[in-house]
Amino acid sequence: MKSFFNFLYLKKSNLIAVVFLVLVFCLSVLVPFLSPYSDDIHGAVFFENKNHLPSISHWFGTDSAGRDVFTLTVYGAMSSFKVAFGVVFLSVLIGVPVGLIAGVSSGSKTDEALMRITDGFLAFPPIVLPIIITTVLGPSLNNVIIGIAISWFPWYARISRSQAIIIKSSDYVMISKSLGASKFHIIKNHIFPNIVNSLFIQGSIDAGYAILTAAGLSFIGLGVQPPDVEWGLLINNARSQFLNNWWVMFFPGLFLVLSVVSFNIIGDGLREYYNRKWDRI
Amino acid sequence: MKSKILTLNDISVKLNNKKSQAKILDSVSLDIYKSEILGLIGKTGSGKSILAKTIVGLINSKEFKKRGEILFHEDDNLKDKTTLRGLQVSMIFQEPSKSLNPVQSVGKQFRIILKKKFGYNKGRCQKMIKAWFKKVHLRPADSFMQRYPHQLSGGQMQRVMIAIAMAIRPKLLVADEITTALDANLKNDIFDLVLSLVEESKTAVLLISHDLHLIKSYCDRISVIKKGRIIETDKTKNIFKNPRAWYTKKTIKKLFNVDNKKALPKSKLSEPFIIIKNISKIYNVFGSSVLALKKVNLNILNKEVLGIIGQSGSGKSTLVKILLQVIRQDEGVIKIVDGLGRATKHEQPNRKFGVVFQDPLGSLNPKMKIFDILAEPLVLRGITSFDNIKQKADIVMKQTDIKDSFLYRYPHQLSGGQRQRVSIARALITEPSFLILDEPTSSLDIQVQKRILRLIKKIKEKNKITVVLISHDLESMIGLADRIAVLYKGEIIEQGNTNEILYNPNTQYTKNLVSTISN
Repeated sequence: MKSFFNFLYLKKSNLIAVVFLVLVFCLSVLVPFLSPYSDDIHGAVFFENKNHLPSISHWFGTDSAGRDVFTLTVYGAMSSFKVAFGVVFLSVLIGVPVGLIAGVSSGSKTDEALMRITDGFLAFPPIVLPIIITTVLGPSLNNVIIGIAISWFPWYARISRSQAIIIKSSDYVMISKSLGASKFHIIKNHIFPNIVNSLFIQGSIDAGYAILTAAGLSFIGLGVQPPDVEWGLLINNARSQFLNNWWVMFFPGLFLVLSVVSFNIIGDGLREYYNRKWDRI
Repeated sequence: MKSKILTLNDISVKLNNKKSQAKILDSVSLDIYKSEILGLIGKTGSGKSILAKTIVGLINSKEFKKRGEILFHEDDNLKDKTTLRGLQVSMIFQEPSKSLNPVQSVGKQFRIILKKKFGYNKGRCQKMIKAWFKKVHLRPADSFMQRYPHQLSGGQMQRVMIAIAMAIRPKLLVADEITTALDANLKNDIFDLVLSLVEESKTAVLLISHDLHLIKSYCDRISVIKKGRIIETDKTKNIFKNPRAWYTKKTIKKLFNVDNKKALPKSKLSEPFIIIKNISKIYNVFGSSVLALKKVNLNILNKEVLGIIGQSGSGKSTLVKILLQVIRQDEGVIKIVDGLGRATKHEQPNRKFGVVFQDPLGSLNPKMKIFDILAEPLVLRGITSFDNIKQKADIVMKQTDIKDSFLYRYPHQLSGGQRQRVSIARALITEPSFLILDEPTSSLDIQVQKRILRLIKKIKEKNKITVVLISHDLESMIGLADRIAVLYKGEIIEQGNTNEILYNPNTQYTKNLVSTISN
């Protein structure tokens, strides 16, 4: 906890980014209970209210179906955060064990086999593999998460492997080996605790890009499907009326950009924080 | 009178954080003259390295507050220290492994610096690097250029750093404990080389070292620093003959008062405990074979302290790893003899072996608290109860003088000497029958070195275990080792009891080693 506050104290931008994300997340949880337009979340339409400009009663205006854009935008954050954490969690879950096993047995056939398989996934351009996977599995939020995670896990495997190779040659691992420690013991006690920081940094940056990629998939119709709400989907729906009713596309877009930027700031902040901590050592 | 090259005017450096504003340097004023070698001596934590970093402009302004003025007399336009670094002043650090980028070959790192400094093209840089590598005895230069830092020994890495620092033709070279990792012979070679370069280019040197022999032999003047204050600066002759400050007197007296002859133990021959037969090891580095050990034959006798001495790159660390069986030898066999005289092959890591490495920080996992570090060897032997671990930890902590409050600290929260005590405690916690000490004191300053050596002596007398003490420093073995083996380029060129080696060395290499300490 102390480390977390030190991280916030390090730079104002870290504090702003964390506060923004926490605020958006809390609002997305509370909006179904607090918003007078909570029915809009479930696909209700009110054509008598369509295309209203932002006002006191509709802070971000209304869309072509008369739904409150503020309620939809804030609620859409929930799907985006699910994607962000889901993708990072799944990528770490697949990539880290692969990388650690390859790293501790570097130079062996196991390492060679595992890394060539991950290289195979890297051979696809970053957006193509999620498109193929979501097309095959069918468009839904969970399939978007699976699709992106399968495309991204090789990066976590690579980070873990390279760190494992460095840590494996350290004196403390050598001592542990000389005492008869197994590979599992070395991974669990020595390598994994020392790569957690790198994973946090990579995860925070990737969380932002995961939101962006998911929004991209929703935009081309392969992501979240109505009546679910997601920023990419909201932007896609408002695409045709952007010139007349700019607010319907602008606010979800703004939240998307701010969230991605916030995750990036946190990632950069964590890198700086851990490097400073390391320098002091 | 020589002209001044650098003047420090009333330099003070304070910590800049809310918890502490402790003064690290206190009104330091110092002149460095053209082409002189100025020695800087002082205890650990006296501010030597911070002073060096301040001169080069490497202290972080967010963490330290600096006051005072640094004047570089060569060029008035270069008063700003950040422009001096790499142009007029270069620095060589204590730990070469931390100074080199682990993911770039040393040749590439060297080339980047030459390109920045001189704007040379790749071919010209390569030529210059080859020439420099030859000068610092890194041969074959082509092979060394392609190597990554982890493929070099500590000494070789430091030679790369010396080559890089000198290649930019600095006016002032700041050398912070640069020969700590090198053996006695090489120390002088490297310093002779640095001296010849210094004379040629009229480079001034600020030499920071805890090795007073070195300081005495090479420096024109000496400054003594204590708690961030320069307490005495004078010519070397005057400092050693007639030190003014009480602290200087004490430091010098301590060093030259050791009566080596009295400290020698008598050798007690006993049964072999470990038999090393025809061990060879070859590493493949970029397609070329490097012979690390060549048919090493050695008996380690029961309950003796065997000193193994050798220069950097002589195969000491490889021998340790093979003894621990964390790497396998290409040829030969190691046998362990039990109490009944039966010899069994040693092919797997043995939990009755303890080891202490050179770098106390590198040998402790930075993410583990001291308690967990001490507990690990026990956990690996199946002892998991907290009470049992604590009981055993208490015993070794008492023996190694580790305070109870350290148990819940992380390694970076301890000093170098304290960390090395923890390493020793970890090695002892399983009550090993065999202890390997690989350069246990070489990264520590002279006072801490002595304390650690005293501790090892105490352990040797109390625990009655077999110890192998590996070092590049013959002096540290006096009073500790019963026998000494000399390792040179992967071969044991001489072995015998300590008295024989010291008073009747057979090989030229050993004679040189002995002469450096008798000086």
